[in-house]
This record gives sequence, C-alpha cells and structure tokens, in this order.
Amino acid sequence: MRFSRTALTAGIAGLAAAAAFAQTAETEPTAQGELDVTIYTDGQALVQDVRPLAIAAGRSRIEFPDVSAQIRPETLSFNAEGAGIVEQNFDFDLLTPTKLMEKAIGQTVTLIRTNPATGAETRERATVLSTAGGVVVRIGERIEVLRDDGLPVRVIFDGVPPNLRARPTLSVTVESDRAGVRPASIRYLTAGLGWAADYVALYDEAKGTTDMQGWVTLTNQTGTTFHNADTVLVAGSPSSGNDDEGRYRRPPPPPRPGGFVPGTETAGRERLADYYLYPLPGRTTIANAQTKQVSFLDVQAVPARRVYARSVGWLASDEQPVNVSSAIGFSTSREQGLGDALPAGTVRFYQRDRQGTPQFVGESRIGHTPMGSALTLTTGDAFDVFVQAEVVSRDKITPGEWEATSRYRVIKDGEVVREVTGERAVEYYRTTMRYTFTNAKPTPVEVELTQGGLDRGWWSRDFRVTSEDVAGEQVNADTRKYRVTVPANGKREVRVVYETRY
Amino acid sequence: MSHRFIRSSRACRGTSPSEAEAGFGSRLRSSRSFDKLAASGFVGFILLASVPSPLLAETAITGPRETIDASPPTRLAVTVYRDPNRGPDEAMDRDWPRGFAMISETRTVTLPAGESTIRFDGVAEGMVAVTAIVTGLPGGTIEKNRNAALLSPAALVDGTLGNRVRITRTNPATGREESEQAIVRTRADGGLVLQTSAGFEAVRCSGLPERLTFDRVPAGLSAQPVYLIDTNSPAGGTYTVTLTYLAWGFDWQAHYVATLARGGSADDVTLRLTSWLTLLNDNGQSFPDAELMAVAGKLRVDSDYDELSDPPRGEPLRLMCYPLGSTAAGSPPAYPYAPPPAPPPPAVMMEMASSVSAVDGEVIVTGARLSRAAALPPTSRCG
Repeated sequence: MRFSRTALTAGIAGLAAAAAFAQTAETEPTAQGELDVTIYTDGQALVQDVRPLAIAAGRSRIEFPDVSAQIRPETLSFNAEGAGIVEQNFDFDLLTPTKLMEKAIGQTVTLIRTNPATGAETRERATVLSTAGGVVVRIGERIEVLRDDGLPVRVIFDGVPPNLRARPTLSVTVESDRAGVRPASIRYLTAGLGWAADYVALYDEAKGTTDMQGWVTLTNQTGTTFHNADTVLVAGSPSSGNDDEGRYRRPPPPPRPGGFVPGTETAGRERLADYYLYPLPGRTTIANAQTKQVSFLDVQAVPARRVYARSVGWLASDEQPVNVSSAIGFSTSREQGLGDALPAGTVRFYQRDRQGTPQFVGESRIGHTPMGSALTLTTGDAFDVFVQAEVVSRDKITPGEWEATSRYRVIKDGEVVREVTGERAVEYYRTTMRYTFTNAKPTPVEVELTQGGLDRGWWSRDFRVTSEDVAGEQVNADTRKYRVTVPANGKREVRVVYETRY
Repeated sequence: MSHRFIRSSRACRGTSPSEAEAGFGSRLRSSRSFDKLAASGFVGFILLASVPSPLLAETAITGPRETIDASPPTRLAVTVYRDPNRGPDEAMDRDWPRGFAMISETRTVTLPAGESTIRFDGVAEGMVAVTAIVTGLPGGTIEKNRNAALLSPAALVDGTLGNRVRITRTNPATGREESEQAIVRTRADGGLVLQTSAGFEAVRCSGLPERLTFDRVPAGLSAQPVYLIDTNSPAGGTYTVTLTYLAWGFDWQAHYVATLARGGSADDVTLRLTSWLTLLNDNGQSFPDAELMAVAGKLRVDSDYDELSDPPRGEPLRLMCYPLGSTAAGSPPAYPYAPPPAPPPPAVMMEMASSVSAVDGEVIVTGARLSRAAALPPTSRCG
C-alpha cells in the first residue's frame, strides 16, 4: 500500500484528491480482444471481437465478458476453427448484495457478531432460509432474523453463483473437435453506438464564399467501452427489421430542407452496397458516455450566397409584417470546390463580425446529400427584412362564358326523342395582392417570394396572372416565385393580379 | 452602474446601424470589452482549415498518447444568444434558461514532439461537445473527445471493479481498526460486494463502521467536465490555442425603462429611455473578465442543445443491502429503497459585468451598458 495508516483515516474523499496527483495513464483491464466496430447512422453498430481462447475438446462453455451491455444476442455469430456453437446465453443478472443473498437461500454462510461492549467477535455458521422482507437464518437448532436486535453482524458468503456477474457477459456452449488455443471471434449487433456528421461552415458575405469542415461525431451509450477498435462508419441506415423500437430511441431522420436539389455526381469515397464508408485512421478507443469527433472534410472558398425567402399561402393577409427567413445556398458539386457527398448531420454557420471574430449565426439539418446537390439551408429570421402580404381586392367577374356540364339523349322505341345539354356560367375571381417589402439594411437585398396555393385540383388549373409588377416564374402548377430587389434602407410594394376560378 | 438616457423617442425607430453583414440581426457589444475583443485570437479559425484532413492521412496510432494539461483560460469571450423559442412577451426562466452562448477560451499549452492529448479542464458543464472547434494547433486535430465521467464515489467504485481496495472496520467497543485487502466485485449502482480472503461480503450491511480506501483514482476521472483533443505536433513547443464551443443554459433579455417628462409646451413631451441587458447563466462555471456580446435576432436551431449538452453528473454510491427486516419493526416497506435525491447544483455566478444582484441564491447579472444609443434592438413596443 502506498498510504500510511494515518493517511487511511483521512477517508475516501481526502485520499481521492491526494491520489489524483499520482494518477497515471493506465489502461482499464478488459477482456476484449481485437475489435472491429462498424457504426451506422441509425444508432446501431456491428461489433466483431476476436479473442485467443483455449477451447477444450468436446462440449464446453466459453465466456465473453465485456461485450456491449446493449448487445442484441439474437444477432450473434460465433466462429472458431474446428468448433461449432451449440447454445448461447447472455447474462445480465448483475451481482448485488440482494441477489447474492437471494441465491444463498438454502446455503450456509458465516456470521461474525461483534459485541458492542467488549468488542469481542464470535463466529457462527448459519443457513439462509428466506430473504423476503428480511433475512431469516437457521443457526444450529434455532431460527433468527438477521440483525433483529440491530447489533453488528457481518455476513460472509463462501462464493458467488456463476451466473451473477459484475459485467455483462456472453457465454456460449461450443462443440469442438480438438483442444487448444485458437482465435475465436464473435460478431453481433448492438444498439447505443451511433454517429452523425457535424459541419462547421464559415460564411463570408462579402466574398460570397463559405469554408466548410466536416466532423464525424461518435456517441457511445452502450455502457461498455470499446478498446482499440478498428472503426468504420457507414453513411446509411440499413433496415434492422426488428421490433424492439421501444427498447432504445432512434434519432429521427433529419428533415429535408426546402431548397434541396439532389446531385448526380459520384463522390470519391469507398462505397458498400448503397452506402458510403468512412474509415477512421488507426485504432481508437470509444469510451462509454463519450462523444468523439474526427475530421473528414475540409474545403475552402466554396461559392455561397445569402437567400432571403418567404412563402405565402393563397389569400394570405398578414396583420403585421413578417420577417423573411435567411438562408445560405451552396452546391456540393466538384466544380464548385466542395466535391463530396455529405452524410446526414447538422450544418452550423459562422460569420465574422466587424472585429473578425467568427460568431454563430444559425444551424440547419441536412439529410444524406449526394455530391453535386444544391442546398439552401435556413439559418434564421432576417432581423431587418420584412414582407407583408395583403389581399387588396377580390372581385367576382362574370365574363359571359358558359361551359357544358352534361349532354344526353333520350331514346324511346329506338328513336331519339330529346337531346339535352346542361350548361352553367363560368365564374372567375380577380384577386389583387399587395406585397410590401421593407429593408433596414444598408445594402439592397433580393427576396424570393413564393406565392403558393394556386393549384386546387383539376377544375382549377385555368388561372392567369393578368398583371404583375415583377415578372414571376411559375415553378409548378401550385407555386409562383418572384425575385424582388428591395433597395437599401427602403421599401417596395409589389402588386400582382390573379384571375382564378377559386 | 451606468445608465444611458436618450432624450428622444426617435431613437427607437432608427435602423440599427451596428451590423448589417450578419444578415439576421444586430449585435450588442459591451463597450468596455470592445478594444480587447478586437485583438481576439480567433484569427486561427482559418488556420485550422489549412491543415490536411487527418481522416485521409495514413497515420499509425500506437499506444496511449501523453496527456498535457492546457492552462486555465487567459482570455474568455462569451456571446449570449436568446432562447430562440421564447416569445417577446415571455419572461426568462431563471431556473431553466433555454438559450445558449458561444464561448471562446484562449489557453496556452506546451506540447511534446509527436502525438499528445490536450486536456481542457473546467469547460462549461452545458458544453455542446459537437460544436467545439479548436484553433491554433500546429498539427491540427486527430480527434476530439468529451468524457462524461466525473470523479464521484460511484465512478471510483466502477473504475476499481476487479481491482484491490482496502476495507477498514472500526470495532465499536475498543475503537481498534482492522483492515484487510479486498477485491471489488460489483458496480456501484446496486450495492457493493467485496471478495476477501474469507469469502464474499456486502459493504455497509453489517452495522459496523466500514471504510474503503482506494490506491488511486481511475484514469480519466476529474472533478470538472473535461474536454480532450488529440493532436500531432511535429516539433513541439508552446502554443496559444482557442477552444470555441456552444454551451446551453444561458439567456438574455432587453428591458427598457421609459420616463416621460413634460417640456415647455403641452405637446412637447420627451422620453428618457434606459435600457438594460439582463443575462442569465445557469452553468456551474463562472466566466471572469469575459468579453461579452449578446446577439439579437432569431436563429434557426435544429439540434436539441439540452440533450446534446447533457451535463455530466457525479453519481452517488448507492449502498443497498439485502432486506434488513426485524421481528419488532417488520419488513422494510419497499425494496430496493428509493435512491436518495441528487444534491442540488452549486449556486451559479457569472462575473461578466460590474453589477450583481442576488435573488433567491441565484445570481442575475444586470448591467453591461450599451455603447451606443442606437444599438438598441428595435422591438415591437417601439415598432
């Protein structure tokens, strides 16, 4: 022992502080062998653990302590030369004083009583009869409740049952044709190990570029530390086809941002099936409750632009001006400089202030994004730019048009006796919208205004825009987009007249 | 405490001239730290970007790296962001602020040549580890780790699992201490079982005074949240590095006090406007002499910073025993016993501004005079 007897009286807390100075970087004892960990983005991982084990000939039981505490035992496969698996058990009944006493029912333990007046110790052997709400023991021919009188009694157990363990342990029964030490591997899926990407984007408004760094973020909530693991990250979420969704929470798929155009380029990464692989360099230890980040992307000066946008529903009349959303648009194509597929994650934008210090300006989630995609990621609400959409007038117009709604003949005795045509008046509505833009910034801004709700179904597609102050672009049957330049420190009104059947 | 009076209501309607380039909002900066921040060490941000991506590099990692402690922060910058989901009418929640802050800590570190691990002690407990950026390292970052393991009685037991401890019993009559070697056979969450030469025994179940002593602290445990960066320095030497991260548990709010005064005629009414910036810090860490900013405007935040930050907790040692009923008192009502409530977090202090007022043991800082009248955020009230 390093500490003297006087130091011992200082108690655990004092010693802990003293020992902190003597702390050395020592590896924890672990029974793990050579580990290969493949982590998927949906919070599950494939673990392969190769350990040199002495396997006896014939049928024997092998134990694998230090497997993931969240192992899915049904996914286990075992591999060793000349040995086949017969049965496997995953013991998660952990050793506690309660369990130890319960398993000692019917067994003999040693009791040591200390006389509080004289300090004298007496030893007795006792048989545990029950532990329900108190421990009942038989000592010789008499029955007692343990510590019934409140006086000190130590209970010493002779042994611990083999299925009570301190650590989650997997045990397999194997049939081997020969004895000897050889590498044995187990492979299993576990929950609680996941990864996502985190991007740091430094946007330069003046130059219209962004620098981008990508980090993979590993999280380990399995309750087990994986030592010196060869780690591969898989961008993709393979279907796991199990029904224990309730056992662990899975991260929800990130929402697709509004401005996303999928790309058509292939990234220069290793691909496996329909996923991209991101191997980590060297071996790494993934500690329990640890968040680990490793870089995988670093590019400079990708062209990017600020996008102000608002979308307005049909017949929207704002009581108050509404902030437009502020977004940053860029492309992941090779010729724009980024040239990589982006695994799902969170993009955090930073922008330098007047002193050159980067400040956080907002974040946005992205899904798995192939190379060559166009992304427009919203970072927040624009403080200085507002739009107020108002319905100025709405009139019913009757152009004197009629449309046939039905036509039929009445045939009697093989002859047409009547032909009927049903008609009704075609009604139109003339709606005048006024969009008021205000800009408190000292520079002119362009706002993308999207008027939606134009497509009401097959009967409504006959609509026209009879006048508009700014030329609009019909994105699809439902939406029409206007790019409106608002002067610096200024205000602009845009009027659009729609003639519709609704 | 300095007040600023603005003798005109027009100041409310003016455009905020402070920052147009930020796109989404205007910045408020405390005037006394203005000059200091201009010399901030964040120019290194771009430096990191020029480092080749280590994931692609063929590096062989062998053995544990040497752990180097970074110095305490020599310069701190805190930019506080308002809770994005709190409406203009809602008051700040003093017990649970849901805004965040960007914290920049400048520290010095002396690296050996080759690979090493840098330990940043005393980072904010609400640190959102995934947002951390470190700049100024000559060889870039191999990996960044945040360990959520604090030195606590439970962590001490868990880290000693399978190793030797010494158990000391004091005889209640004679006061004599008897100690023996034992091996820890359980984790700390369900009671403690030791293996001694005599057999197996539960701790703190016999009614005797018992005490455990450990040889050393298990590796990787510390009293404060710790952030670790693995780096590679080709030459070694002393470097100034900046650790920047977002931390959860902040909020801020602007308050305006308007005093109406009548001028010469009945129509001539002037307005004296005092504005207050109130900041809230719920972290257990103080940020002394920090350069302070607050950002006005609504940012989009998709992540759950509360969950991501998940401050590490020290677990108490729950020494549960087998049921100890007696014929006089009956059986224990429920088993296992409910764990004792966690101790309350320590009082919070943020030493960023000059004036401090304590309310119910919590400290709210109200101060940080605005440098310019027109830098007030235009609110709906001023419209």
